[in-house]
Amino acid sequence: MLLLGCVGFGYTENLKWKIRLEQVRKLKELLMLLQNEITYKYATLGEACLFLSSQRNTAFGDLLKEIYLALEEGKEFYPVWKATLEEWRKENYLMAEDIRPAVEFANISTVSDIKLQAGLIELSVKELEERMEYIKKEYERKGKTYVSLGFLTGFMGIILLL
Amino acid sequence: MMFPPALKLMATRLCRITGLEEIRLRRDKPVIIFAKGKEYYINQEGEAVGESEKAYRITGQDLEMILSLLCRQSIYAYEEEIKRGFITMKGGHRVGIAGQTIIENGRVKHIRYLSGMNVRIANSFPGISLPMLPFLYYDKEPLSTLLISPPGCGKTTLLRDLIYQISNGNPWGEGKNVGVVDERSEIQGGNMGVGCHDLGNRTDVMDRCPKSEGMMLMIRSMNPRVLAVDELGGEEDLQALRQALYCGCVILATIHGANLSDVLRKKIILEVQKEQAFQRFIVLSKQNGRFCTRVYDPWQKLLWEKK
Repeated sequence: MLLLGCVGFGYTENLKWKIRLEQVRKLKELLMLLQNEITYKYATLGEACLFLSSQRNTAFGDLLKEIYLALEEGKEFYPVWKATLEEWRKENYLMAEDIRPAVEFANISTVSDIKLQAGLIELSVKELEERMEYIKKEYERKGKTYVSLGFLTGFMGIILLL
Repeated sequence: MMFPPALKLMATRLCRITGLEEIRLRRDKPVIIFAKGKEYYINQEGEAVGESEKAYRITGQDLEMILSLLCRQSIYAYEEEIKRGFITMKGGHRVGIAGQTIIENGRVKHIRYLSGMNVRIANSFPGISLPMLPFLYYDKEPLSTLLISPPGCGKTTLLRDLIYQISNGNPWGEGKNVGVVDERSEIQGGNMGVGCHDLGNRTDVMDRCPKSEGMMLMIRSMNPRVLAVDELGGEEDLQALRQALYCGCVILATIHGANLSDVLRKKIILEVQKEQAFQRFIVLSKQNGRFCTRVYDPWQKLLWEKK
């Protein structure tokens, strides 16, 4: 039981890295879809959020709709976007650095040119890709260590108990 | 919601004013509104004040904030509208903007350092066209009609009601398929594809589409019996108008002009009238604060008048 528990703990820690990687990938996908809505349909940020909330069955669905509703009330995009992503991060295994590129693209307001707006999102997408690369390396490096440590701890515990 | 939070009370009170026609916002100048043909100064609380000194003075920052809110914080999405000098709000209200222009290749690229805004409130008066409808039909078929007036006399409001009446049918004719090319989103007052004004059951709208392109698209795709467009003007409109007429469409259109003879001198109308494109002319005018509507036939004979 002790051995199984410790190995399980090691696997869970390993799994967290995998889930974290998947969540950053989802964030990257969201930004790419947002960029597409903006460049292809000339959608406003609110419209893009509303459209994506209705199109995609993901964790972002309701959150994006909330952003749209807040913007319709005349609230500023950056604080609303930042708070929403922060809230989503806390419910997941993400670190603040993981969502930072996705948050910061919204910090530049009054973008009057569509190329610039699309460029800012593209920059964030690239930064998220770098982040994914980092998480992937860490997952590969630390993942096996967590499982091995779990196994060893469990084994040691059994020896001590014996 | 187009006013910054500091002017929220003003916005709420202005929305409640009946007969509001225009809101004038000029940098460092008092807020002025026009309602029922009269001019009023407005203070920060949205109340009418007698003297300009007591009125709220709009700052440059206010104007920038209003523009951002109008564009839903996505100015990039309104690039084309800003270039043309106006943005259409939900409900079809047109906000004209003035400022310093940035020119590229001889054309306006952007407007910065905003100096003023003019909010023109779109009104809807259902049934306003009913008294003149008998003169706009022949043998139960609508006639091609041109609405003429200077700005602010209600061309678009009347066009909107005519579209509704023709689309839904009325005592003088059955309902017809109407195609609307709404270049400025003013006729329908569209917001994300949903119209704020009812244009009837048989109406299809091509929103924010250049008139010339939109008219051809409509003819090809929606087979309209009646084609409605707002504010004819350019050379390319003439070509599209001709094409629509050759396809057998009835045209409902508006044009700026002081009177009928003034409009009949315009090249675009001169050209299409050689083929008697328009069988009726509705001239709207404002005299001493009172609206006047006249319906003419192609020989400039007065058929109907209401003062």
